[in-house]
Amino acid sequence: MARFPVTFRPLSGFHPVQAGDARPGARAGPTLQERMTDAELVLEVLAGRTRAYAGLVERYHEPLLRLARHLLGNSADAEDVVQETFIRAYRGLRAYRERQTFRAWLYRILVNRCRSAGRQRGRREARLAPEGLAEREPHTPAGASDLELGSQLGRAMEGLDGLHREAFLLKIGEEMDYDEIASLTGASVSALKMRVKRARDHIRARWEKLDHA
Amino acid sequence: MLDRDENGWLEEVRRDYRGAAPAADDARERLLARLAAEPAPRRPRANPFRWLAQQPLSIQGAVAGVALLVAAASGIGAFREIDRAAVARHVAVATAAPEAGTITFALRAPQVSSVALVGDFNAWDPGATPMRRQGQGDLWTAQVALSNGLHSYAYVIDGRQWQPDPGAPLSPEAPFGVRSSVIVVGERDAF
Repeated sequence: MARFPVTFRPLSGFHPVQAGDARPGARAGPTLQERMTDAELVLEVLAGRTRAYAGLVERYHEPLLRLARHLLGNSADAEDVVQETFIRAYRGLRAYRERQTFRAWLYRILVNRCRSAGRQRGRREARLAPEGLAEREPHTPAGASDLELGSQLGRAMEGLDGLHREAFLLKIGEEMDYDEIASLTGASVSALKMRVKRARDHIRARWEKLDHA
Repeated sequence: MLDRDENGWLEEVRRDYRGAAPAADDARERLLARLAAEPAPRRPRANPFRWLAQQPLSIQGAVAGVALLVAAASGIGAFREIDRAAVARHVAVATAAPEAGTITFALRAPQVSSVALVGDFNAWDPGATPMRRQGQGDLWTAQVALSNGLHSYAYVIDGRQWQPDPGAPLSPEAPFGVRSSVIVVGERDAF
């Protein structure tokens, strides 16, 4: 058998590979993983190079964590939900179809996980609350928890139920269009527009009070 | 004026939302540790017989009859044209090279009559770099001098079937509608 003149090493490792100009001192360019689209990283994982999934985690972990914290109102629940979202997406990756974007798929899982977490917490708190207090809307955080966000938006969202909070954060925070939000949440575009408007009115009124406090 | 005021406020809200950066590093490490314990997801193998198995016996019988007629008319040998599954089992070894120079590409492709290497280094010309079969085996090799940097390439099997290298990362682009593979040459420390 022919002897290869150079030693090859597999390129499927976890650590991003530097692409572009390789001369010493050259400016670092985007890594190979960074240049790949979500769909390409998914195909890499399905081809057995599972460490490519770390590229997707790198890309979406922080935005998902931020959204979950604002939806749920505390960091511990948000981390659990985000972790569950990535695990579920990983386990279900073989069912992923390229006709939908990976991002939309991931956000849909997150939104559903947040709703479930909110309902579970609502039931738990309802059992502990004095009789007569109604169960809260899906993933409506406790008022005290919102303070943990430490942001003006967190304080301005206090009292806003989960569905309105969800619509506002996806539209204004994540800058998604209404069709995309509708596909994530299952709500109609007109219902979403109404929720965003009501949420905006609630948040803006409180925002200005906080500005003058 | 009102719109500008509204837009300015929304920008302020976005800044506040994005500025509340969560302490994500530890959480990400914990997530990656959990993922490492998960079994690898694999694309399910296509099963063309699943649909047939769900059909009534009359349809199954009709399909089997048609298949027998086709086999008889074209000769059983026609089914030996190319063993695609065998081609897919080929082994690629060229994915990264620590230094520029002559790179050997190797492909294990049984039951094919020719393999060519195409890439951005030979203008994607299937006639430019034919691969040579090693002895009577199924290993095909070609040597190419490559400069430092990122190169895209693919294999052309029997002069017509373009396919990327399943053992190498896929290129982000598909300029000719065909996915290609990537090899990075140079920068030993980058690996």
